[in-house]
Amino acid sequence: MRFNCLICGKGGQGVITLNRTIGNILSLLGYKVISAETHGMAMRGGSVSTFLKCGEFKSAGFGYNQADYIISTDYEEYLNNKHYLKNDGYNIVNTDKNNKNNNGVFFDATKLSLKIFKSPKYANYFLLFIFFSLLGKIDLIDVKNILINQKLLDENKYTLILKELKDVI
Amino acid sequence: MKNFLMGNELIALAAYNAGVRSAYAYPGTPSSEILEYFSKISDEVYAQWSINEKIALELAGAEAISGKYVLCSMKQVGLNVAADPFFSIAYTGVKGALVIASADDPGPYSSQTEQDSRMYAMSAKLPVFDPINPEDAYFLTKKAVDLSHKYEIPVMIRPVMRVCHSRQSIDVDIEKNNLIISNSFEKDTARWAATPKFRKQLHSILNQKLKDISNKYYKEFKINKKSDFAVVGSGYSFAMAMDIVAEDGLNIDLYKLDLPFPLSDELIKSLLEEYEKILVIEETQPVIEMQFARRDKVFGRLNDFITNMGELTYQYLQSKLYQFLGKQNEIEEFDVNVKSAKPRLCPGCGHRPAFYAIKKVAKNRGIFPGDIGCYTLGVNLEAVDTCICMGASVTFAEGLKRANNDKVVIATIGDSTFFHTGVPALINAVANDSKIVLAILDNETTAMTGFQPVPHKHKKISIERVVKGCGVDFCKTIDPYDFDGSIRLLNEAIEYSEKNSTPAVVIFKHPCITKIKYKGKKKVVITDKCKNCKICYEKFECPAIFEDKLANAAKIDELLCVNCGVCMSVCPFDAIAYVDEVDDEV
Repeated sequence: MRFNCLICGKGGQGVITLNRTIGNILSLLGYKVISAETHGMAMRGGSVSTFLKCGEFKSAGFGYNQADYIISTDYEEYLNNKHYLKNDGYNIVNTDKNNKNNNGVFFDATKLSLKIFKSPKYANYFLLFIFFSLLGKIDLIDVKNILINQKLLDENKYTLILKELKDVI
Repeated sequence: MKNFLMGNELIALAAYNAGVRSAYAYPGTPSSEILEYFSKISDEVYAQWSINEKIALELAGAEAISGKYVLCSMKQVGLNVAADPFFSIAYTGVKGALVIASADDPGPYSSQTEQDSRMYAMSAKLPVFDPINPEDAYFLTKKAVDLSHKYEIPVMIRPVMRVCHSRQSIDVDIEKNNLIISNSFEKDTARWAATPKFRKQLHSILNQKLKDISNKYYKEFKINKKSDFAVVGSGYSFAMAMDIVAEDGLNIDLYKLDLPFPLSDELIKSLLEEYEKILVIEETQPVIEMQFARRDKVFGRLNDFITNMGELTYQYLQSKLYQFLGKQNEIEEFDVNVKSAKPRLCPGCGHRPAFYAIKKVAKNRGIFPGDIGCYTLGVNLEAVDTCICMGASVTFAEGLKRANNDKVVIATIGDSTFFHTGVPALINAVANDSKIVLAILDNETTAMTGFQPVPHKHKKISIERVVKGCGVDFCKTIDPYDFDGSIRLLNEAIEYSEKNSTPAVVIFKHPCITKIKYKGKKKVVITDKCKNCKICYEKFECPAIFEDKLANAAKIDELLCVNCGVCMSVCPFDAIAYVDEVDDEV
């Protein structure tokens, strides 16, 4: 499997954790992944973007118009990075605005997380499961099992998230 | 693939697997995770966050001349601080092994310069490895430890930020090794305490070591010519070049040079003979390129083919590789319009009211030297005017006051930075009757780099006692959440300093908001008294307050707000107030 993915958002929204979680899951499932993060100043609310490549690569870099996926925890940061997306690439964006376009999913993951879990902190799991279902090839049960093993999620939360996502995808 | 590890983690793991059991560091992005990870590998390691990089390197050196295998890590500007022992220990060499990991920051993303640590290695005459990605960092760090032990020479590994903070799938484990490491210092004055006469001999030994290393390391290096064009280089930018050549099917021969210094003369000569044109890709200064002394064939930074600043991006390298081959670059031009969000102090951060108070007391006659840490973000509040390097707020305050005697000079420095290099500067200011106010922003952690411990954490030492020991009589502590009290105390400090011709110190003490998980019990709201004067969200710039344009008023983002209520002190219309009890769960 080969793909390029850009994950972006604002410092504090869990961008780096999301990047690490996706890379970890793919590595444990036997894929070769390389990703690049930015730390430091960025964690104080500044723009954060991370690159992730799956396949036989030496670096995590790619140029404009080369991303198969953009996952963004923030609408403005999606706008800042959308020039990286291929013409037939997918966007997965957490936004409270009613933005729609043909090649992506725009939805209010924070609101969903607040609704089900009374906390915004599960918002990125909605993005993660949408990403893995768009990616195909990987069984969501395998993803779930890894997350449960690492004590990031439990069976009940997984069921609730998947139930909500049926209406989004 | 079992692991998805960061470059910094792999450097630490490789050092451990090669026999390193002690490590010293001062935190600095992008290097901090090296020591953090090392300290967690096993119970048998010793890991120390030292006061500054000079001290870290001297401690590491002392262990290494006693036969131990040691790692010392820092960021590139930290190497400036450690430069003195760095140059000297190159001459004495070591007995066990000493690897210095100096992390560079092309961009720069979180540093004051884009300097290249490999230049220091070259200048000090020490070998330096330059890994292209995390996996490479693992293998080259192991080589660095072995090389250091074999030749009794300190060795540098120089990862750039993209290597430090990249993660890669890799199958590695913690290895037990049976290395028997001698552990005692053997006296040898001519080597360890050399006078200038012996130093010349040590220099000659060092020169010989470098010659042996370059010949040996590149002995097996194969030249396999398929094209007239070659790209040579090291570091992350070279990894991207490798990906571009593979992805775009470019007719270029690639030569990865793990050890940019010392290069082998033989190798350089053969490459120059074989190829029509050679492009050098490396960051951020032309270390490899300078060693290829042929302007007619060699392309790089010295003939302005490659830019002499900034990070080399995939996009940029792609266009340069096409240009190097004389090919049309078929990549579309993009109209990129990026509005990046700037970093800001967290909601509830104690630094914010401290800066706001400083600005308020100084009125329009203040000059504010600042320092390195989260609180550099005081620039957003117009309460930081200069930021040079670690500890320079105190010295700049002394100099600025001397040159601008009619101004009120209030310097800010964090607790960790104060111990790092602020203390000697404060002693200097006292000794020279400087009329400055120093505000020490004590949040009890090294927050910006990931919450490393500070010296006064375990109460073995206190900032107040150190300040008084420096000869400062006026040293008072206040919680910056007490905004009116802070204003009174700063005024008192200014008056004292002017009257007595001596520095006055105010310690603003409030634990880092991200550590204490502060959640006020009462909810803060903006009432209809709000005139939308913009002070709370623009001047005070709390990230949890924004402008509701429809209502023409300020509004609170409940997900971000920690209900600290400090904004109430700065609202001129008393339009911010506490309301009902809030649920602890939210």
